[in-house]
Amino acid sequence: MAEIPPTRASLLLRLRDAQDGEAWREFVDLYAPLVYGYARKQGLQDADAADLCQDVLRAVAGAVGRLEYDPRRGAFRNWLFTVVRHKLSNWQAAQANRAQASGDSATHQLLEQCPAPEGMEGEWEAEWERRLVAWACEQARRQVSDTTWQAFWRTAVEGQPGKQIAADLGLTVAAVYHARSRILARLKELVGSVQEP
Amino acid sequence: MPASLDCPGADCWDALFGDTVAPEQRERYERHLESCPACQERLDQSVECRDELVGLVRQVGDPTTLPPEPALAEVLDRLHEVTSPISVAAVDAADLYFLRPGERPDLLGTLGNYEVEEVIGQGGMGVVLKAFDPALHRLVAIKVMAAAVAGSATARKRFTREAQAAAAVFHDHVVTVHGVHEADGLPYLVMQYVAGESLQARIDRTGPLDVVEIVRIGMQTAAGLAAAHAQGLIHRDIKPANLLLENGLARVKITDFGLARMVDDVGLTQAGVVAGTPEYMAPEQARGEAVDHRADLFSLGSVLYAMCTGMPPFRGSSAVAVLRRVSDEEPKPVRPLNPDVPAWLEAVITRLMAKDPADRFQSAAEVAALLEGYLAHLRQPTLITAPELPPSPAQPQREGSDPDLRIGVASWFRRPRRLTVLVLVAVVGLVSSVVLLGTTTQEGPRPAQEFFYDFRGGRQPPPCFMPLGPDAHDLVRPEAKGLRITLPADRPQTDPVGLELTSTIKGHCEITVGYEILQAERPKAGYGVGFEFFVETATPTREGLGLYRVVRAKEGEVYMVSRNTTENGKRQYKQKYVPAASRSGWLRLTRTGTEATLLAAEADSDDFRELCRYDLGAEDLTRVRLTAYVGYDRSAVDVRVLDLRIRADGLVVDQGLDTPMASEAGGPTRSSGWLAAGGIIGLAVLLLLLIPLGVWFRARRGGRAGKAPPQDGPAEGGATGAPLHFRCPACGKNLTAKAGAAGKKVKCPKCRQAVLVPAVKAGRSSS
Repeated sequence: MAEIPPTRASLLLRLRDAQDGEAWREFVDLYAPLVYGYARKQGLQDADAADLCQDVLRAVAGAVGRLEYDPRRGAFRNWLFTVVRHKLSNWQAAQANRAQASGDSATHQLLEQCPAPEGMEGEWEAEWERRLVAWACEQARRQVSDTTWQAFWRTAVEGQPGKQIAADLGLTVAAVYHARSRILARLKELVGSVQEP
Repeated sequence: MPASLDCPGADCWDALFGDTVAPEQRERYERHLESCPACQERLDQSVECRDELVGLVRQVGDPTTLPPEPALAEVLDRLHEVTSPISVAAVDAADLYFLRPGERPDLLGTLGNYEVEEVIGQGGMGVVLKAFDPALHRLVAIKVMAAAVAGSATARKRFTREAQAAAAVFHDHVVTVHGVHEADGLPYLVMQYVAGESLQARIDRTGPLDVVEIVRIGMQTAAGLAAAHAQGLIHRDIKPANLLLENGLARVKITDFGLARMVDDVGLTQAGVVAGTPEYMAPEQARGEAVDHRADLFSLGSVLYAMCTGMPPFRGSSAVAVLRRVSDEEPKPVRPLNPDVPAWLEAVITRLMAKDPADRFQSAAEVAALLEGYLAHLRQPTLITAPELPPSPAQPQREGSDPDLRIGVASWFRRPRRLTVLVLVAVVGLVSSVVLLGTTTQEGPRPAQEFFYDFRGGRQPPPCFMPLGPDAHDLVRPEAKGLRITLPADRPQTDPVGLELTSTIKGHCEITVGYEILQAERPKAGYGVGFEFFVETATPTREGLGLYRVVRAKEGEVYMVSRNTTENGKRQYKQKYVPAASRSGWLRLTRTGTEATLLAAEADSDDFRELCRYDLGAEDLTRVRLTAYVGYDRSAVDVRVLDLRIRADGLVVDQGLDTPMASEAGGPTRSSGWLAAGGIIGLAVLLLLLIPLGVWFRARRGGRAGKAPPQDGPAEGGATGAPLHFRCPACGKNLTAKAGAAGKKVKCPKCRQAVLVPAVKAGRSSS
């Protein structure tokens, strides 16, 4: 299981390093689904959510490189949230204008029922948690063999007996628990690499 | 099933799976586990399965079985490929979208009137094309800005401006810029086509070069740089890849003048995205400080180094690692790496690569002349001796050596200050003229430099002012009455918005900004809303001083003074509020030694009153920020910046090319000898006149002893009998001693250090 790479510096820090092309990829993989998922939850259609997502990520990428994001002012995802909310309200305003112009009062009413900011923040946090975990799983899964991932999933997540898994996958029992420990540690490390104060 | 006594305990399993177990133990445990159902069961029930993160993973579900999100997948692909601000994508048809289909099948297409033949290069900035100009029947090289760069209006403007400036440089060793054009909003640069290879390709191909060739290429590069520097143009990215070696003719051509700085405009990255390497960058550039033409000289030294050794002087696994080395380390000496290199060439490289620009050669012309001398020597060693390396500039004449900086030289020793010293001397009274000489050499006339910019008149501020804040382009605009910064209510961000002056301010300095607050509603909470004036030391996280004119939730109209310090990695804030009356006026920061004094004057008055003092240290100040400020509130704020004036011992403003600065040019620096003479005469006359005046003055101001006059006036204390006020140099505590104690030592009650009581406390005046 030497396939798991060693600990690296925090993702946002790495993003500022011009040579670390992989960091940009990881950054996109983590934050784009978050923005997309949140936009979908706010009632945007597939294509609109995708456009908004692309818009936000481009804007944010430049700012992170320029160090405009200041960690002293709070977590990165909170800052990202303000950017998203801003873009979203622009989008909604544009929609409202279009709705009024076309006399589509149903759409307009729908927009007026936008959730209060508190609710939005909760939804954002929930989406963040979900996307962060999904991202970490995806990253970890890509870094190990399929068998190792299966072993981890079945023992840790599904709670199947180690003996059974070992027999199914052709591993030793110890290898199954080993997979569980290693991948769990890796997941924690991945989550930690983007955890912010 | 119960575990038997010889079953390994929980800690053994932790050690096994945490890989902290000895190999022979490992085998034993693993064998045991294979056949012990009790241990298997225990491990199946392990706490790991109840881990919070595992619970979340369970909720989210297997990544391989989640429902697909095709729209998202598409965006991810687009983002990975197109907008990566860091990786440089390979050239493909999509990157040449700006070309129109041409008539000839052997062409890639046309751009404007040019027939594009092939792609000859590519970098973070854009692509370089080889094209034919049918009108003038010549080959040209065309540089097209990358879409990501062209997206920024500032970058586009600067591209055009710098290209126009580069077009003004005609020199044998500089690639001629024919012009800059635009197609569908995308600017492109048309240059002379140079057939040949770059110096980088040459070094890659052959390794270290012959000494004659090294000196010749170095000499020609220096000559090209001298021509550009004379036009006020700094290259900023001298490296082997930007030096073209023309085929057949042994001739160097420098390319890409000034283009490096556009990358900063779009903020693609801080670290030399143009080539993806900062290996040839000067340390001041690596630290993000203001640069002048001497940065190019450092890079020239690095290029000479690379020609001697076949490799750049600083290498590292990442751009950040290289930057750190450039800034902190000395390169390995050249001669052990290539014994053919003569000692004088090594000495030239060392001088060029001095960390402090003041220790380098001070002009490219000087380097060109020197290398020409060496070249003559190399060609005829018996007839011509090698030139002497001129001594290192001990006391650099900054203003004289900065052809691209038109900063007025103004004497700090203007009339009021002279008066201050003389009045001061008069008050001291009994002190001999020797003290005067001592005072003038110590406090004496410094060759101060001055920067002044008037925001009134509606001009676009020069490029030394960088927009600050993500939405600055929308919210900051030049108007006839000054630079207007308007933040709407409920703006999504709370970042300050305005301008930042990139500069290096050394030693004693005085920075004054004129402002007006047009609108600032009383906020519900937060530090206040209004106008902010902030300076930071060169180590950006160490010291920052802010002076604000804000409206607070509770106190209403106040000056807010803030000091941000980082100690042990923790940022500490100190805030202080002082009542204010008028919504316009001046804010001023002065630094004498390490002590910074913050002052403010109301409305049109130039009566500056002191708000507080802080120990700011002696480090250079590198950033001056002028912004509208909203604290943590989202109120609407509307402010105007009128002007900015900086006076300092040393001042370098990174001002780009055009310099619409109305510098108030003072006379030449007055010599201290003149001053001492004047001082002695003044002493003779003023002793009689001013002793009574000084006593009267003190008596009149007696009740306000704690407040120094804002501009000029006598310092407190002295030998007239009044107590001496001074600070403990060790801990900064304010101390008082009897007048007779001057020159003696007292013990600081706070830090217990022995402190020498100064004869006179330095005046607080700042002009």
